[in-house]
Amino acid sequence: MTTEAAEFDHAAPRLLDPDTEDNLQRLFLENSWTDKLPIVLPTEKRVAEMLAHTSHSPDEIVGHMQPTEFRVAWEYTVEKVAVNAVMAGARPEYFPVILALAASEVSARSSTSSSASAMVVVNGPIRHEIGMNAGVGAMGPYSHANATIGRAYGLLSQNLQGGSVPGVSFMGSQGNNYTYNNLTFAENEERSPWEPLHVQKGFKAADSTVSIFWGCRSTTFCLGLREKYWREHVRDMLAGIDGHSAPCLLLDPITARQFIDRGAFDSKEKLIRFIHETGEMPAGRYWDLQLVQNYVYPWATFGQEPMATWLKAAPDEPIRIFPEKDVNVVVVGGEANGYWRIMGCKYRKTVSIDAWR
Amino acid sequence: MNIVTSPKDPTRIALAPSPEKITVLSPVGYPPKVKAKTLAPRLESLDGRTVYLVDCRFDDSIELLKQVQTWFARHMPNVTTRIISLSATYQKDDPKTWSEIKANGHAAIVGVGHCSNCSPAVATHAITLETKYGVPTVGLHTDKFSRVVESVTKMAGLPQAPRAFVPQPVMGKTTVELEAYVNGKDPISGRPVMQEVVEALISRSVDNGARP
Repeated sequence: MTTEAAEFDHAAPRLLDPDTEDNLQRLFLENSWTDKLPIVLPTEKRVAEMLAHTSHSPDEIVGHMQPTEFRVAWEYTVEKVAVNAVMAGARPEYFPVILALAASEVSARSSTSSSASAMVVVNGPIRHEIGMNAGVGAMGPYSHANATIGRAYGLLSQNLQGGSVPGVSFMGSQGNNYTYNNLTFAENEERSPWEPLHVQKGFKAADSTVSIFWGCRSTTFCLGLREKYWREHVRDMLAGIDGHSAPCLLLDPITARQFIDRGAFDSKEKLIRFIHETGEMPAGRYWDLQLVQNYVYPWATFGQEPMATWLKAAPDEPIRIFPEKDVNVVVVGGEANGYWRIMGCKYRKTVSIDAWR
Repeated sequence: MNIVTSPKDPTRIALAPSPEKITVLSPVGYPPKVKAKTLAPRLESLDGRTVYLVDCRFDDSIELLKQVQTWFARHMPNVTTRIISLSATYQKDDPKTWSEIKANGHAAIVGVGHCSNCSPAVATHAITLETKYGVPTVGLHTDKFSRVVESVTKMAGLPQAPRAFVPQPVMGKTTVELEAYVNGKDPISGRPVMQEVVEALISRSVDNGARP
């Protein structure tokens, strides 16, 4: 809403005053242009190398971004994204992925006082082209591509949206460590028994995409699925996901196959339906959650379904608090064991990487 | 060229090359151009007027507004107050509510801005009432968000948008505690909260933003 009819001021100098490397590192740090870790200084040569890996013009407008709704959005170009990609230490061949993230216009530096993080899932052939990790340690610091693409997403968000400064443009009360690289990883499509995420979202298997989730404040975790009580264990895990968010199952391939063995879920859709049917809470307890009061109850009173129907339930009547459309499943991990987790986060969008090559 | 002293022999000096200066690109995006706005005309007095208390529906905002309503009943009984909740969440513009206030009221107090998203929203809704509907309005926030409000109103072109602050948190506070907030002083300005609010709605104290 804040970008309507807005005009943007492109008058600021493209280059900073020349200075020593130490002084420039200090300048970037003191201006809150970093994540407080050292950066790679964006010299003209490095930025030009980054720009060489897209067919798009440096001056092309990529999008607009804001730290929250009701704050003005800032504008940014391909070159501005390249500057931040260099700062993160990304290799030029990663640039189309980073441009796709920028084009999403979803900020990885949301100001929300709930301290959310983005989560980025990469699908398609690009994963192999740039060496992304979908196996052992995919969600940790064990892949240069995973690490620096996710870091670039954070840096570009804070710098291209007009800042992320505590007390002014960032109000996350506790902060969120995930935001250092925004949980950036590739889906393990080759070891997954199901269709990949981007195909579920309407893309072809041969397309390369980034999918962005948002939230990542609640996580529950388990090892495998026991024969006797696996359904109840899943139910217990879902009880740990905040009711205003949504479950995204992050399954090691071992567990993905175990879900088929235990529940005959031979598609992600069947598993998602089971999660929807299992995630229940008595209506009275659900409506008393503060976040539900703030963000769900008003829409229910406004007649939005299915929440409006939930309002009619008796306090002890169980309601299914996670609509199927909000539940997601991603396969990731290297089969070192059948560990898996549920991340509380909502899907935002999937963006083509190929469009930014 | 820098001159450095050898740490081993302070009497000796050596010449060292100057650190090379390099040129780098600015990483910052392009801000929107700010278009200056002006406040709605202020009222001569609140006597006999209707003031809408607009609940943004985040946490216990309405509970604080009930105490504002109680304050008016006690101290300015000639003022009619109506509490109204936004049609949905604060995340949406609400022309239906703004039109009702314009048609049936004379001034508004929007609150409470006490989260990272709802504080910008409260500030923006107050500016909408001022500039699009011509209704004198005060945004009521908690002190933790004073710099957020300053930033939002500045970028919206109305840095002088009236505002008042109460302590954080509002959520979970008792009626007695919220009453004390309303009867107490603004932690940012040090002035009585309701004095600030009332003065911001009437003509004698507000900078209308007109510049020479």
